[in-house]
Amino acid sequence: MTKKNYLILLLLSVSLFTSCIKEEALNAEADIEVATIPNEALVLQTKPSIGNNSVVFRLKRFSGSFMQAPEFVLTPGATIEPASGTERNFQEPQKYTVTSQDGAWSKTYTVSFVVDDGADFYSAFENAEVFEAKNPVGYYHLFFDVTENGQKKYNWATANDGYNILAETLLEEGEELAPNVYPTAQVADGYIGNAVRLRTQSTGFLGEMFGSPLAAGSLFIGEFETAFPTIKSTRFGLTYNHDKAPLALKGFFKYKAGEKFIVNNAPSALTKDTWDGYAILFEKNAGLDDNYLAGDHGFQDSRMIAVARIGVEQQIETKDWTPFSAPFSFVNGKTFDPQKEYMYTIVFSSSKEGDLFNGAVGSILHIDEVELVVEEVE
Amino acid sequence: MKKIIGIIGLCWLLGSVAQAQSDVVNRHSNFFNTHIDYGLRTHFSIGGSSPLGLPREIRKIRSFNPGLQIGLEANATKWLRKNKEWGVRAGIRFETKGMETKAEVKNYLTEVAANGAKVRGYYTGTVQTNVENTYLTVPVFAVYKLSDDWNIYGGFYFSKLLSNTFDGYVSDGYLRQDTPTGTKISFEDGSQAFYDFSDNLRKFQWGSQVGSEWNMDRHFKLLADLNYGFNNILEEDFHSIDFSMHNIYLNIGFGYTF
Repeated sequence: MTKKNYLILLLLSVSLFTSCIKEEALNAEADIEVATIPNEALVLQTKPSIGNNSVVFRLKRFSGSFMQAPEFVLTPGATIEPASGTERNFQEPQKYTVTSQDGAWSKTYTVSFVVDDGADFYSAFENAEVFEAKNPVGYYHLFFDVTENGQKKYNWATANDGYNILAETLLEEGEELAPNVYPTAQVADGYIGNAVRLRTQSTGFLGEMFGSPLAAGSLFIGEFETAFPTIKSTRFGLTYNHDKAPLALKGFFKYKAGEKFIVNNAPSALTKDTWDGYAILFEKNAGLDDNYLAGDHGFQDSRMIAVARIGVEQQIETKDWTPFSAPFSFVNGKTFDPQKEYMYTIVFSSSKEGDLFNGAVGSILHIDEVELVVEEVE
Repeated sequence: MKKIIGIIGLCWLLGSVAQAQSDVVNRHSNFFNTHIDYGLRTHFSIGGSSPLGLPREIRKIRSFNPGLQIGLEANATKWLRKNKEWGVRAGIRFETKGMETKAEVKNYLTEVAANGAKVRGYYTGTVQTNVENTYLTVPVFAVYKLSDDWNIYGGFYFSKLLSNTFDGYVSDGYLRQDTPTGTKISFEDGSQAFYDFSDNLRKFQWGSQVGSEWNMDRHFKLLADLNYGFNNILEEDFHSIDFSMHNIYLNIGFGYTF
C-alpha cells in the first residue's frame, strides 16, 4: 500500500468517529434560570435568590399588597405552570411547576416575596425547620425568623446543602439521614432556648475528589448555592438596613477542638483547630448583580468598609457558654456614609481555616444569641 | 521506556533464536523448518476506545490525541503448501493501546466513585479521558498471498491486560445529581473532578484483526491492519458509563522476515 492509501484509510477512520454525532436530545432539565419583576432595581434589596426548588424575592418595603407577577426565564424549551407573568398573591409562598422540554422531568418551585425592612440584628436561633431535599434525599435544618408581616425570612445560611451531595455516602453504621448528621444543626440547651451547633466533618474520599477534603460547620448571613470550587458556594451578605455603622458583634459560644488537626492547604497559621466569628460591612454594587462576598474573600475585598472579628483570647476551648464580643474597625480607609447602600454579613465557622479545608474532624462550636450591635446602649 | 526497550530486546532475541534454528536444523526437514517464515513486526497504532456509534449524549469531540502507541510482535507463518498461497500465522505481541480525548457531552449519565461511595448523575460539559493500556496479545491469523508483493491476513487476537490506565476529569460543566432536575453541582473557573476507572478495566480482551502487507523485498514489508475488540474494555458489572466501549485501532508498521 502506498503512503497515499494510508492517508485515505486514516482519514476514513477519523471521519468514521466524527461523522456519527447524533441529533441532540431535547433538554431534560427544568430550571428557573432567571426570575424578575418590573422595576426590580427599585423595589428589591438584592437579586432574587434562586435555589434548586425555591425563589426568594427580598422587597425593600411593603407597598400594601403582595400582588406580584414575577417573570421567569427557564431552561430552553421548558414550560412553567402557572405561566410566567401571572399575577398572584404572595402573602403566602406560591408553588410553580416547571416541566422539561422533553416532557420527562418536572420539579416544583416555591416562590416567595419577603419584606424585610426592619433593622433587627438579633438572632436567637429559636426557629428552625427541617428541609426535605430531593435528589439526593436529605433532611437538614434551615434557620428562620418571622417578620412583622408574619413571613418567614431565612437570613442565616449554612453549607448543609453542599454536604448533602455526599451525606448519604458518609453515614456511619447505624446512622440515618437526619439534621444531626449535618455540619450545622439546631440543638436544644442553648444559652437561652435553642442554639446552633457547628461541627467540622470529614467528606470522605469523594469530598477529596471534589476538592473539598473537609467540611467545617458554617453559619452565615447570605445564601448558599452549590458550586465548584466549593468555596464559591458561600455567598456572604444581605442588605444592611440601617443608617448608622455597626459597632460590634456579640454573642455566646462553647468550643471543643477536634483531636487531629489536618492541613490540606499549607501553610497553616495554626497547629490546633480553633473557631472563627466575624462580621463585615461592605459596599453594595449599583444594581442587583454580584452583591455578595464569596467565601474566599480572605478579608482582602476592596468593597469592605468595616470588620469585626473575634480575637485569639476568645478562640479558646470552653465547656460553658461564654460571651464573645468584637468591635468594628474601619478598613481600606473608608467611612460610613448614611446615604449609601451597604451589605453586611456575619460568619461563624467551627474551623478557623475551614475556607482552606484546614481543621480537625470533630471540632464543635456552639453559637447562640448573636447580635450585631448598632446603637450605643445608654 | 525501560519496558519498551525490554520488549524490543525480547523480540530480537526470539527472532534470532528462530533464525538460528532455521539455520541449524535445515538439513532435517520438519514442521518447524518447512514452508515456514519467522518474522518480526512493529507498528504504530492510532485509534481509541469508543462506543460503536457515538451515543447522542456526546455532542462534540473537541480534541483527540492518539499518543504514541506501539506494538512489537514475533510471529511464525506456516504455509500450507510450497506455493505459499495459504498460511496460518501465530505470534506473540506486546502492544499499547491508548488515547486522550476531550469531548463535550450533554446529559451523560455517569458517576464519580471512590472507595465504595459514589455520586451518580447527569453530566453536561467537558470530559477529558485518558486511556493507556499495555496488552500481551496472541494473534492467530489466516494469511493469503494475493501476489508476489501482497499478502492479506485476518483472524483473531487474544489479549491479556498487563498495565492499565483509564482516567480523566470533568470540567467546565455541571452534574445534576440523581436526575436531570437534581442538585446542580457546577464545575467553574477551571475546577475539575477527577475520576479513575483503571481498576475496572477488563483483564481479557479478544477481537478481530484484518490487514494487508506489502513486500518491499525478500525481508522487509510494510503493513497496515485494523483491529476491533469484541468485548467492552470495561468490566461487565461496571455501570458508571452506561454504554460499552470497544478498542478500535488502525496499525501501521513494518515487518521483517528472516
